[in-house]
Formats: sequence, C-alpha cells, structure tokens
Amino acid sequence: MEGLTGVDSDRIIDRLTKDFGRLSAIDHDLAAKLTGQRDVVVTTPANEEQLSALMRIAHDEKWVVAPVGAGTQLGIGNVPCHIDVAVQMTKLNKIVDYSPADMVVSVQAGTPFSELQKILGQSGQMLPIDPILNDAATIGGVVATNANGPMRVYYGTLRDLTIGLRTVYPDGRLVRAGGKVVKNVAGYDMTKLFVGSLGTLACLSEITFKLRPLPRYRSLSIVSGNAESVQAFALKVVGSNLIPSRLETFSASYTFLPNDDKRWSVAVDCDENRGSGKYQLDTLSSLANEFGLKHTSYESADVQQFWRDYRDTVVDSDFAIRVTVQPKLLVLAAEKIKNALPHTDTDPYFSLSVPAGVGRLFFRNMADTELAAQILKICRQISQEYGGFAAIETGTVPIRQQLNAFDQLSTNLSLLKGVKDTIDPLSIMNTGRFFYGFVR
Amino acid sequence: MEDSQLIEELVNIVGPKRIYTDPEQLERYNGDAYSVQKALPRAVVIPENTEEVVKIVKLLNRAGVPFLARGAGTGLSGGAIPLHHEVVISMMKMNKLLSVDLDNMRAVVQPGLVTIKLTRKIKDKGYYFAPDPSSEALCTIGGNFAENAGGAHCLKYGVSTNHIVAAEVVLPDGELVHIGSEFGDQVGYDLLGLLVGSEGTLGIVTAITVKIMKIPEAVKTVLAMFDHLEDASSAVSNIIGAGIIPAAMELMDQATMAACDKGDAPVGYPTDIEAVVLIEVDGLAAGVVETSERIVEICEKHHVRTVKVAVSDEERDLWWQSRKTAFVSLGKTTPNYITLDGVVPRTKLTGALGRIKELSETFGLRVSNVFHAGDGNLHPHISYDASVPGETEKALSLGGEILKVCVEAGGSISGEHGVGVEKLEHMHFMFADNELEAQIDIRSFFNPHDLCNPGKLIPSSGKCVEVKQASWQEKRKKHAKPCDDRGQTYA
Repeated sequence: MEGLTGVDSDRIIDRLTKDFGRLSAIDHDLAAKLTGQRDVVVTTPANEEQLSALMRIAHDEKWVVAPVGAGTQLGIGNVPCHIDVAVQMTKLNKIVDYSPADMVVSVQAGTPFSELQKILGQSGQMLPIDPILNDAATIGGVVATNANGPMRVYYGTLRDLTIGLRTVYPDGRLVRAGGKVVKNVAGYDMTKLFVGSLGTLACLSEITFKLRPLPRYRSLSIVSGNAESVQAFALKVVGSNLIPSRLETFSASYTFLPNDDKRWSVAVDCDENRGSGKYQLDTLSSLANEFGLKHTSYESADVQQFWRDYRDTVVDSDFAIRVTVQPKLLVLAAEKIKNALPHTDTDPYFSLSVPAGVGRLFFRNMADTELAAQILKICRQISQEYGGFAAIETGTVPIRQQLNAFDQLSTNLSLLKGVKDTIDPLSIMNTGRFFYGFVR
Repeated sequence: MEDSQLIEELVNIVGPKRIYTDPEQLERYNGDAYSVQKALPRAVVIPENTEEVVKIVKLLNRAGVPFLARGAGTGLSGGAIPLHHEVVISMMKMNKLLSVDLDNMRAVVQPGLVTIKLTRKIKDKGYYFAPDPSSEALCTIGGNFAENAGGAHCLKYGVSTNHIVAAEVVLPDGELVHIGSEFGDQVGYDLLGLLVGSEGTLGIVTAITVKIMKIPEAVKTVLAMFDHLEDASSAVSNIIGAGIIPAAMELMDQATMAACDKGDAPVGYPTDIEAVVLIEVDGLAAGVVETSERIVEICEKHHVRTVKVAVSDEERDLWWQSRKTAFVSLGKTTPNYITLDGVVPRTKLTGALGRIKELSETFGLRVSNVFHAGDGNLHPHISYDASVPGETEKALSLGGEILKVCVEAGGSISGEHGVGVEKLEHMHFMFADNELEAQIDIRSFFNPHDLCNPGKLIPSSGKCVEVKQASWQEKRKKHAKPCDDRGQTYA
C-alpha cells in the first residue's frame, strides 16, 4: 500500500520557519521508520502553545501529522499514509505536578518513561506498568500505545491508570479530558479514547496518572513443566487466595530461566508485604510439588534481576504478535502455535500474561515478509480456534505494508471511524495507522 | 406520530402488560433519588430481552420520540428524570445472571441485575464483584455501568469502569453492537471506556461482561477516633504515604456520628470528638495483621484518642452498617437534604473542609460531612427545609459554592454520583466551552438527534434548570419495589 505522496518538504519547512524560526528539519531515518517514505519534516515545539500553533497551521494546510516521542514504538499498528510533519514531543518533558501524598502525577508527554519512574521511585512510588520498552521511550508514546506488560494482571493497564489528559486537537484547540483526582465522573470519560489511540486522534500534551507504592518486599516463584501442567498450575494460582502481581508464562527460549525442565515456566510475583510474600513463596512451592513441577524461589534483588533479564531478552525484537485467548486455554493455545510455527533462525520468545488472556510472541531479525505472514496466519487461526484473536504488535515497515495488523477492527468499523471523524474530521492525524489501507 | 399510535406500536413489541400509561403508574417513574426535580414520562415500557430493546429503540428513533433507560432509580444526580416527557425503558426485567466463568474470572449479566446479587450468587465459590456503591442492595449493574459507580472499596479496587470489560449495547438508532473485549485489550479506540459513565446518553446497555475477583483471604478493620479533624486527615495521608493501600478509608464528622448513633446501628461514638475514620485492609492472612498494626501506629502518631481493630465479624459489620447508613440516618434529622459528591486531592482535605464550614455558616445551613477519605471524595450533606420559602434555592446555591471549592482545590464536581441534571451548571466550573463542545461532538455522533436521555450530563448553553420541589412526605415514601425507591439517599 502506498499512500499519497504528500506535500513537498521544503515548502513545509518554509512555511514553518516563517512562524517558528528554526524548529524544523528534514529527517530521513525517521521517515524510513514511520512509513518508508524518503524524508519527513520534523518539528519540535518547545511548549504547548507552539504545539497548538503548529497544529493550527497543519490543519489549515491539511498536512498529515504524526506525533512522535523517542520513536521507539513506531513499529506498532499499520503503516500510515504519507506523513507530512512529524511533531517531536521531546521538548515537552517536564513533571508538571507531583504530589506523592495524593499519589498522582501530571507529566508532559515527551518525558522519558524511565525518567518518570526514577523520580517516582525516589518517593517510594511507581506507575505500575512494565512494558518492554527502550529507555528513551516517552510517556506520551507509552500512553498512545497503551503499552503494558506482565504487571497488568494485578495493576491493570493504562486505561485504568490514566485519569486525565491535556490534548491538542487536530485544529489546534487545547482540550482537557478527565481531571487530576483519582475519582471523577464529570462528563464523558474522554481520556479513555486517547489511551491506545496510536496518535490518530490528537497530540497528547500532558498526562495525569494515579500511582501505586513501590513494593517494599519482592518475592518470585518460577515453576516449570509441560504446557498442560503449567496451564493447570496457573489456573490453580489464579483461583487461590494468593495475590500474584505478575503471573507470566515463558517458553523455553529464554536462557536465564532456572529449573531443569523448562518447556514452559510460569513466574509468579508478589508485591505484598514481607509476611504475605514469604507465605506466598511457601504456598507456591508446596503447590508446585503437588503438581510434580520444578520450582525455584527468588527474593529481593534477584527478583528485579529476573525481570531485567526478561526485558533485555526481548527488547530488541522487531516482530511481535499479540494473541488474546481466554486465560484457561492460553498456555495450551501457545503450545499449539509453537508446534505449528515454521522453523525460524531463532526461536520465538513466548510471554503469556495468563490471567489477562494476553500472550506475546517476540521474534528477532524478522526480515522475511512471507515468513511473517505465515506466522501471523497460524497465530490468527489457532487463536480463533480457542475463541480469541491475534494482532501484530510490532513489525518492520515492509512487513506491515503487506499485512493488516488489526483485522479485528472490522467488527465496529463504522463506530471507530465515526469517533475518528468526530475528533479529526480532516483526517490529518497519523492517517492509516489504525485503518489498514485507509488513504485520505 | 400520535401518542396513541406510538403506544399501540409499543404494545405490538412487548404486549399489553409490560407497558404503563396510567398517570398513577407513571408517577413511580418520575425520577430517581435526586428528589429536587420530578417529571412524568410519556409511557413506561419494560423489555424482557435485547431484541425487544432493539425494536423499541428503533421505533422511538423513527418516531423522533425521546427515551431513557433506567434501572432501580437510586441515582443521585437526576439522570433518570424524564424531563422531556420521555418514554422510560425500565431494564428491571432484564435481571438475569447470564453466565459465570470462574476459571476465567468473568460473569455476564443483564443490566437489571441488582449489584449485590451478583456477589451473592458467586460468594460460596469464593468470588465477588468488587464495586460496592452504598445502594448495592437496590441499584443495578446497568446503572453502575451508566454512572461509573464507585463505592467504599474503590480506593484499592477501582470503580465500575475498571471492572467492566465488554458490553452489548443498543445504540440510539437501534443498532446492536458489541464493544470491549472479554479478555486482553480491545482493538481500536476504547469505546467501552467512553460508554461507561455516559449516563445513558450514548446508548442502552443490554448485557455486561464483568471481572469477578477472589474474596480476600483476610480482612482487618480499624476504627480510629480523633479529637481533631486535622489529625484525622494527616493520619489518612500518612497511611498512604507509608505505602499502604487500604481497601477503604471512610471519614465522618461529629454531626454525622451523632445522627448515626440515633439510627439503626449505634456504635456509641464519643460526642466530643471531631472525626472518626474507618479503615479496612485486606489480603493474605499472613500479612494483614502487620498492616493493621502499622495503621494503628500511624494513628497513634497523629494523636488519635482511641483506635481499635475489630475483634469479630459482628463488630466489623456494625461499624460498616453505621457508615453505610449514614445518609439515611442524617436524612432523618432534617426535613430535606442535598448530598454532594465533590472530590479534592487528598492533601487538600483539611483546607476544603474549613472552607465548607465557613460557607455553611455564611448560608446559615447545616452541612455534615461523610466521605471516602482515601480518595478525597467528599459527600457534604446539606440540611434544609423546603417549606421555608427560598431555602431550597439557598441550599442549591450553597451546594454550587461547595463544588466550586472542590474544583478550585484541583478536584472535581463529582466522584461517583454523576452529573445528571443536578450538576449541569457546575460542569462549567471544570470545563471550558470548547471542552464541553468536544464532549457534545462525541454525543452528536452516537446520539445525533439527542433522543437518548436528552439534556443530561453536558450543559447546553443558556439552559435554565427549573427547580421543582418535592415534599418531605413524598421523599420519605417507601415502596416495596426497588424501582420505586425514592426514600433513601446513598453515597
């Protein structure tokens, strides 16, 4: 799919320089990552007013805009049509408001997520999400992609944690949604529309989150065996009184996993206090024995190291598929997918958040579009057999130009397009990133 | 379309027994627990399944007749008042628990299922539905969906939107859609997140998939009585600061304590303390004792007069009953009252309460305070006498001033009761005109002719809310059926 050729970059730069001075430049690398086009104009507004003024011009000129943070997650979603202007948010990088006693933080979209976590950590708090991300990833990008990881099984996702937004609409209007308090039902919960909207509705300028305390004590049990036993064990834990803060199941491909038999390993985390954490470790180890499964326990720093190893293993993946299958069948579905996959140079890394019903397959160096298509087809087929679905979570431009990342969108297409048209009637925001083959 | 023809066509859909047109029957559907305004519906129709809802909505949309869906009518902001002579669609007969899947921790319910009944039906298996608005014994899950209801335990477990994962919805033109995703994340925009809390203005929900949770293994409940309100608020902040997220943290002032002790669940609060805080922690038995001890310690550090941990289920139940019936108890002490629902950042509690006290004195009306202290959700309770000319208006404008204080402190006009008609004008405190327009744009897409619960949630410019008075007697009237309940105020 090729989008329209778009507006001449030099003309855009001339127009922007008139109003903003030298804020804009031509970028080839970003262009390649965005859509595979030759070049793109990158503009870096210094504040919200400039962002708003920039959007007013883009709107008048009908330029297609892509809000961009650090550019670490551009492989998500479909490939947009030609992007005229990439609005780089990295200068909007302040913590606007942080009151630890209220457990609420308001932060500008261009702030690196890792930086935010560091600052919250100094007050013993965290934004409780753990997506696989490059350190540079910005909070705006994290929200726009609804990035999530194993912790979602206890803490939920950003739809649960994002309580307010300042957005700049495609016509430059500043529109706030939600608020800055944890409970708020005044008006429509517009915030939800922007979380995971992949930059297709508006530019996010500032985001307010509710926070959680950093766990004071950490414990982790890793239990391994075949798919059936691990599935049964995971369900047993879910149905018990235990309080797992992560319950992530891994395939054998990860080299850092303990235990001899590691066909599938489930890692059960606990963020409760010391008394509860110790009790949970003991209970899980006797439960593992009951199931005849191999078992290893970690505490404190070793727990953090385990999750760092996990991240380091998959952070450089360039192709990932997300399967959504009911929790009680997820490991079984993953096993079936694993056995059905064609041979690849490196084994895929499976990572299954069982109670959430979300599994991911990470691949490295996936350059072969046909192979990717074959893998996606298998994932979709088997997920459907189990009552679920599959989507491309990340992929290179050539792969996503050939494959529709979200075939599920067709279910409520007119509603989704209606929401898009309501907020972005000229369709200038990241056109085509959600809707495959959607040319303006 | 003539009314008579409309009724005939509605009868064709649901039969003659599930449609009301007699003024006496209609009277029972003239509003909800926001007692300041009432209005008669054009008719009441009671569907039994989704197909009927689709047909009814298609008919009304074609005829250009406004309509609204309602549950038990326990809403506190007037969202179910048929101000435009709507056809009221009562969802109370769609009250089934459709399915429960314990392994996957999901339940599918019809909207008319009373909230507490879901928990009752799965409790013996060790599961429950977390949202627990004080009206849970009467209100419906459909109503919880529409209002994004909260409850005492949402401090730790979140509000309705965090527990609803998918829904079947009849759009205002009668189209049936399925939104959300039973598991994982929906693909595309979060339409479900938008519809939850939309107060019935974007569609009518006909089936709801919710998360169910395991009942915590152990619970510890702490009652802390403070000489000074300020110490109570600092203790609350410091508990959170210590990295503890209690399941609930509820605060009541002296006026409320006094009223509660005259009610059905007397605790025997000292009459010379300013504040009592009810704190609950839950989790694994191996950990809750440690946490409750830590809470006691923090209360002691903040000059608590008495602090105790419940020694029995009976004691815990009594404390909770006292709290949960606080509004009913307060209601008995005054001819009329308004319950507000403002939110302030937790750290601004003391200042906000001081301002509320000043305003109460300026207006010469008593304001009692009960609130979810953990999340800063205040429920100031304004007592007034509607039979005194001008006092209703005075109470309403005091309410407005209090909500202004909340917004100025960085908070919100509503934490869980919704905007309805009650807070339409107060929306201007929070949102600029273009922000309200952005919300109207969304409504216009889903509900282009504004037939689906018109005039609620978002103010239209220059709108004047007519205040009608409800007599004390009418408010007190208690009816056997939940859908008739007007007598109690919940929060």
